[in-house]
Formats: sequence, structure tokens, C-alpha cells
Amino acid sequence: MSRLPDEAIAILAGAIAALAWLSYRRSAKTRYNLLRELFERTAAVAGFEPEAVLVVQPQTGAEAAFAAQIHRAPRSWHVVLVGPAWLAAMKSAAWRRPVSGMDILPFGKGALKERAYLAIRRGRRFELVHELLPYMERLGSSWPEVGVESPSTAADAALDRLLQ
Amino acid sequence: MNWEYEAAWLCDYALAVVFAASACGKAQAMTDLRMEISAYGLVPSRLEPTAAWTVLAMEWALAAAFAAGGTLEGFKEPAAIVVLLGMTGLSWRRRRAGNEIKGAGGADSCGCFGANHPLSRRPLLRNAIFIAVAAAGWIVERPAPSGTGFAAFALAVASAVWLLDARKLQKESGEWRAGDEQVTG
Repeated sequence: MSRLPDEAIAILAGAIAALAWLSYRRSAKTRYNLLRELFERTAAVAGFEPEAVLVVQPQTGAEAAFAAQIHRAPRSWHVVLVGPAWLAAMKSAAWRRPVSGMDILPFGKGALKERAYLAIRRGRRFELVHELLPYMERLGSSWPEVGVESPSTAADAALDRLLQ
Repeated sequence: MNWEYEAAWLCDYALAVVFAASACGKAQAMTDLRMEISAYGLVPSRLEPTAAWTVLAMEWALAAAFAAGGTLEGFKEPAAIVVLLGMTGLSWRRRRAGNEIKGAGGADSCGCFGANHPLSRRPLLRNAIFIAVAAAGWIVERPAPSGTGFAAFALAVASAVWLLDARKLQKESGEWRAGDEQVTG
């Protein structure tokens, strides 16, 4: 069997690369839309536009150190517990902040529903932080840039409503 | 083409994909990278951003060197082995410290390629395989590619990186298991 000329191989590689890029763009758009939907839903529930959404799993032994830091999260964040509404209400009282249940999540299944992470909105894009414990320990330092202060008066008002 | 050449191209291809995918994943999650560096506790906090950018630049440079085919022979392979050994040592150290479960990758994976990446699983075994591939690539020789051959090779590397990233995104949004439950939104 004769070998394909280099030009034909390059054209074939280009066609495959175009398909791979389209597949990547499609998946990126789907995830972007889901995260945007998450922020829209949390804004509707919390009554303010959150800077970041902290998605936490129901507490397990391994995550205890991280869970102990949640009460320190800035009020401009919204916390979503991947669990039923009654458990979210219990955690809301324990952490002294509004907590939504899993019904707010737009994800059917997938790692964004099964893992703990912080979704930060940075202009027109979203950044996910999975290294939560060191991140939470840094809150209040010169960085991370998100969550040093609680600049949102709406967030303060939402918390006041909860504590009343 | 000699089988030895083909084996050498495969080694270069695999390592180009590995370093490009790793650099892509890190570039998309710089905060996670800085946190991971912080979790290792080897660098003073004021140097963490510099360390993060250095790691990223090093991985892009290695990806470019391997994607360029028969260039920098005898230099890029040992450099890759040193980097991989360093990463393996850090993964092993963190696992021993028992705090990996708090990290980006969970108990049996790492955040080297960004969380949820298909290549993030079993970091110690995975890095051992990559080191073996780099060592094999070091031994065999190959000719420098032609212009069109180089273009095809670089496109093939990019395709693999995009497909792996698409797989990661599908895993995150639940598309990969669309048969189980409909994704809304």
C-alpha cells in the first residue's frame, strides 16, 4: 500500500483538529451556560448578585476541616449544599448564613454536582477553585482577590433577614 | 519508515499531549495552581505567583519542544524526566501527608491537569508511565520533520488536547453520562 503524501496527511490532521476544536467549544459552551444558570438561580434566591457560589457536599469526616471554615466565607458569596432543603435549612442556622439546597443546581449529574468547589465569576468567564481549604484559609489576606470584603449591601440585607 | 522512527514519534506525540494538556489545564485554573503550590508548603507565600507562572512556562516550553518533533534531542527528554520526577515526588509527599483528599483531584487523583481531567487519575502510576515513555524517546533517534509533517504533527497534538479537555468539560457538566439523566439548563 502506498503511503499518503505529506500534504494529504496535513489536510486530514487539519480536518480532525477542526472537529476536535468544535467538540471542545460545544462542551465549553454547555458548561458556561450551566454555570451562568447557577449564578442566575442563586441571584434570584439570595436577592443579590453573588461574587462567587460555594458548592459544598453534605459534611463527611474528610471535609470537616473545610466545613469548619464555611462560616468565614464572605457574605457576598452564596452557599449551596448538595442535599435536601431541610438539611440546607439546618446548615443555614449552623453557619449563620443563607444556604440553598440542591434543587437550585442546574446540573443533572456530573462532577459539578458531586464535588465541592467555589465558582467565581470573573467578568464574562467563570473560574472554579477546588483547593478549598487553602483558599478559605487565605481569606482576608491580600489575595485571593474575591471575598476579602463583603461589598454588597444586598448581601448584608439578606443575612440580616436570615438572622431576624 | 523505520519502526524505530515511528516509536520515537509516538513518544514525542504522547509527551507533547501530556505537557500541553497539563499547561492548558493549569492556565484555566491559576488560582487552583497557586493553592496547590501553597499546599506543598515549599515556597514562601510571596513567591507562589512566580512559582505558578514558572511551572506553567516550563510546561508550555516542554510541550512545544516535543510537538516540534526531532528538535532539542538529548535535552528535552531528560528535562521532561526531571520535571516528571519532581511532580511525582510532590504528589507522593502530599499523599503521605494525608491531605490529598482536600485537593483538586480527590483521594485517587491530582489536580496536575486541572480538576476532573481524564489524565488526573492515579498520578504516581501515570507519571511512572510518562517517565518510561520519555526514557524510551531519549534512546531512539528520529529525523527532523518536513514543514507539512510538522504542521500535521502539531495539529494532531492540538486535537488530542482539545478532545481531552472536551471530555473533562463533559464530565463536569454531566454530558458524559447523558444516558443516566437529562441535563437541564
